[in-house]
Amino acid sequence: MLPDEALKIAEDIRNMRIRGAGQIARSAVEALEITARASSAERVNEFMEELTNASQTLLRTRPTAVSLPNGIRYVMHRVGTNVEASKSVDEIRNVAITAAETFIENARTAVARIGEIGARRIRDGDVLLTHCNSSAAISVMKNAWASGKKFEVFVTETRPRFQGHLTAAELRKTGIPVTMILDDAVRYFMQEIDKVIVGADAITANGALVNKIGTSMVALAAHEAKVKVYAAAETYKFSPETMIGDLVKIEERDQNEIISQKELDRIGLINIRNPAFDVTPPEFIDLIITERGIIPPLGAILILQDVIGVLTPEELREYQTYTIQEE
Amino acid sequence: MIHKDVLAVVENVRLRQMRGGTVVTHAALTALRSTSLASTATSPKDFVSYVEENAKYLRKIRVASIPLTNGLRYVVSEVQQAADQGADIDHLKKVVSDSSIGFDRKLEESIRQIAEIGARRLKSGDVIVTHSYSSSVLAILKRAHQQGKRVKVVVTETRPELEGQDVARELATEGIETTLIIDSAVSHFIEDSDKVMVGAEAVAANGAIVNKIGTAMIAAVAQRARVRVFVAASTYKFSPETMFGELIEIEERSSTYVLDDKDLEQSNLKVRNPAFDVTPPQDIDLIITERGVIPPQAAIMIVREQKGPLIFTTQDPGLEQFLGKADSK
Repeated sequence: MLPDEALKIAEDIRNMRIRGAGQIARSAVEALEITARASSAERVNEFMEELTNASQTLLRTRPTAVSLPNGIRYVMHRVGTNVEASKSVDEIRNVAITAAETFIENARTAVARIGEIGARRIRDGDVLLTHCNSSAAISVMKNAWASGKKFEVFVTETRPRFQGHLTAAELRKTGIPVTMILDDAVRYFMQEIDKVIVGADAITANGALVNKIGTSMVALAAHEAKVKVYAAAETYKFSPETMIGDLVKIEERDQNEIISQKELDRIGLINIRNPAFDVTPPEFIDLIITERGIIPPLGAILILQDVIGVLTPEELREYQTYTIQEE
Repeated sequence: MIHKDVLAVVENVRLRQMRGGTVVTHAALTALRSTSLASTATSPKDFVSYVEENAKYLRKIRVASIPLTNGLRYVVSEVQQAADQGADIDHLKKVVSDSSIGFDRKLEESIRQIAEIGARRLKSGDVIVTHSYSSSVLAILKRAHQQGKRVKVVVTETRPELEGQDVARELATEGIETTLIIDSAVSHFIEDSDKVMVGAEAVAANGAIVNKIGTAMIAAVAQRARVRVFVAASTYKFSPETMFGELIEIEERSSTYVLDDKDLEQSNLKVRNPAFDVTPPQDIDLIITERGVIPPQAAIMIVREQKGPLIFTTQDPGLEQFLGKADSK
């Protein structure tokens, strides 16, 4: 049974009072830390049972967030290695608390750190292009602008929900020159672009990028024109499930995001398909900017091993295959 | 002097945002005809320059539309030839009338033939992706459906004017299984598709096509996925000017089609809204014309056969002569 405070967090994640990949992961890990601190277990296997139960409860709260199992896994992997070394309950509790605090601190600073690292790749006079609304990608641009570099940004409007408008407004607030274009116009303008920078909803074990629908076309147009493609991704976005061959499933959203019911009735009997994300293959991506540094997409497996731990198929079986959804 | 019928049709096209080059060409030729019949010119020479002047003005409806350019070019060329041979004004008016109706009919006929030829390339069970509104593509899909082939069509909504919704309605009315998606989702669905089929506003001498913005990205995605890209375009859409290095002009339309947000506009944001883009020949498998199916690299053969002077180019007299030579071969 989870302590009340941890249960409250689990409940808030479940009913979406806690939102956003980073916040979800931090809160889940915090709940695990609370459980570890509150445990009155006297024997190691009792303590482990409590932590494992808490992990299971937390994992079930939001089966669509890639960040949540990563946070839990980060802590449990470190705890597990110490159990093997036959340490005492208190020693293991301390490992759990330290791991949880490290994860939370890292997650809290990840976006800012990505901004610092990514900004170094941007040069005076660059013309950038971004798609959708990514806090990590915006962090890179804002950091570069704050360091005195002068550049401009093409922003796609990003159908169907026009998140490009949010990005444009944020960048304009900082003073960065912005040109808004249609998603369709990306190849038309690609000759004028120096770098494409996008965020990530998930990164798979082979370095593929799961991101807002349209990203893969933007990346293809860039790749073809020898324009660099950067993905800004916190390490908790890397998906361990894909290490055992699971595919990330993609959410299809409501048809009325694309067309109003009135228009639809006028048209007649047709299908509407509205996938929220697509998959960009690693060969279209030049770099992934993480808070732990810049890696080529094929280095994704290293991040998974370093941060999440080497996973056995048995361990992974405990994870649910999830459908990735918009937070 | 620009006649009121011409001014009216230019404004009308601008406001109603007519779909497809074929529709626009028909409207322009009709206006040129009524304009010429109403002419009060007193000499054949004056009449010819009056027709030329109005034709040039009509071309502004859509500078990227080659059937429009070619149609106007054909009428002007016919009337010039007749005047050179000493025809009087009444005869010249008849020439304008006959040639404009003739071109219109040929264009319509070409679409019927394209439908026949294009439908042969489709088979039951095919999933076809299309983008924007093309009379030729619609004719092909409907023809294939009439022949009993069960084709499924994936239609992009086609931002910013959403003419894909009109395409979806026409297909649904016909009973064709239709799926509407956003333009950005083509890449997601391309693996489950068999063919991409689009129209063209213009075909250049090197086989590149100018079509609604977004076509170039769809073609690139299809090429990479080994999905065939077919372009349905009558030979009236082939541009002779491009043989001499002229680039097809791509108009940028109003930013309000893209963005209607006062706050963002006040933030001093720029909006760019090109109406068309260029798909390179290497991303196109076939062009379906009324005279048969050709690889894009063979566009030059069609272009060389185009008749008429280059009335709309930067006037280098050498070019017209050169085209004359190319024609006579």
